[in-house]
Amino acid sequence: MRRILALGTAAALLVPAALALPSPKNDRLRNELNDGQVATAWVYEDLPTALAVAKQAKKPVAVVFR
Amino acid sequence: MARLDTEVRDLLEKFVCVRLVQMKGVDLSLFQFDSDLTWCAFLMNGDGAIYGRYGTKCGQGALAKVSIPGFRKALERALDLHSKWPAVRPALEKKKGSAPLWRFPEAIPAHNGKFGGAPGRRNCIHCHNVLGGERQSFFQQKKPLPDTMVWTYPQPETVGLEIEPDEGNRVKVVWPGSAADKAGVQVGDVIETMAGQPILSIADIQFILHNTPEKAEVALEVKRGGASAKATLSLSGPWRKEDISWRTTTWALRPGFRSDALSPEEKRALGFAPDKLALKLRGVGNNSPAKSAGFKQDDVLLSVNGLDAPWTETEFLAYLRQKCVAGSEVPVVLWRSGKRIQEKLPVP
Repeated sequence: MRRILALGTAAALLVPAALALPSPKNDRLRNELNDGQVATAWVYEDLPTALAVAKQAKKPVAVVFR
Repeated sequence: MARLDTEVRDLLEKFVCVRLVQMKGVDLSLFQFDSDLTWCAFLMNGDGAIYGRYGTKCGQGALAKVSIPGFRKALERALDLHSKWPAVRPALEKKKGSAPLWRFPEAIPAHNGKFGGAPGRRNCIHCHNVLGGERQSFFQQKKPLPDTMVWTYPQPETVGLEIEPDEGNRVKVVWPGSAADKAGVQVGDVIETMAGQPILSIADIQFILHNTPEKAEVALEVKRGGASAKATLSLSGPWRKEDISWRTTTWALRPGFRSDALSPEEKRALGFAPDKLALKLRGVGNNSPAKSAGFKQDDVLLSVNGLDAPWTETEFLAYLRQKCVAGSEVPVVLWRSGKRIQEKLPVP
């Protein structure tokens, strides 16, 4: 039970991080770059946000220059 | 990006993915890569440690050394390193490179406000503008370019290694007599670390070579038939001096024209000695100082500053940018319409 609670708490912490990704700037760049068909959640031109999300989610970061 | 999304999505979804579309504000103490790339990736930890790079361009074409399978392998290796975090942190420390000459692209002196204001379509700093601006700053300061600013991000072939693009770290060919050959590297070896750094891709090898001095011992750890083996590349001399004529950034080194070394047959037909300089000019830029000075398409350069060794275009450009001062004029001998003429070549 304690483990389930811990997982739940962790999931709750991750949700705001995931929600932080969409933004007007993000959407504008995504459209400008014709990335509308891309399903993976990309952060555009905002490395600090991506690094913060990655730290919180304990995920690695893929930074693509293009 | 759409192709990546389709074919690599299962792996990319394990990462937080960021796309940076221009270089303004990009910290060059962290993001050091080959300025000629049109696409590259850094695979990192959230604290800024670099697991590895992906993206290689070469003279055989923009896509000759990149592939979706190769990128997948790099992503998988980054995920493996991430699963071992923070134990792997010490091995990653040198992946950031040394302090850059200028930390941000907009601070490069030659840019001098050229890319001012907020990023937009008209004032983007492109990847190639970073190296271009750094070189231009040296020209403005009348300083010769160091080797590392002429021959950037050497290919693994400079030490005798051809790597399988679909694997990113498996040796496909060892050039006979090369540093890799002398070190005992074998076809099929999988390079796990180089100079102590984990190798995710060809770009990681290039990064290490870019930061390796002219004389150096570079340690390799390889997997060979399931067992581990060690080798040491002993480098000295002009090992990094490969052809750079294919690079987009090489245009800024040129004095306003491209040039091709004449073949032995062409030299013979024109009565030139086989062991002497003969570079045929092509594409003399309309607004270039060379055009203003009278240089013409199909002229053949026969000597530069009294030197007539049978240079390639790369060797000619290296001489121009390492031995001549920007803003000066260099005496040259040209062959034009069957006659030898003396001219002065402006060094922009």
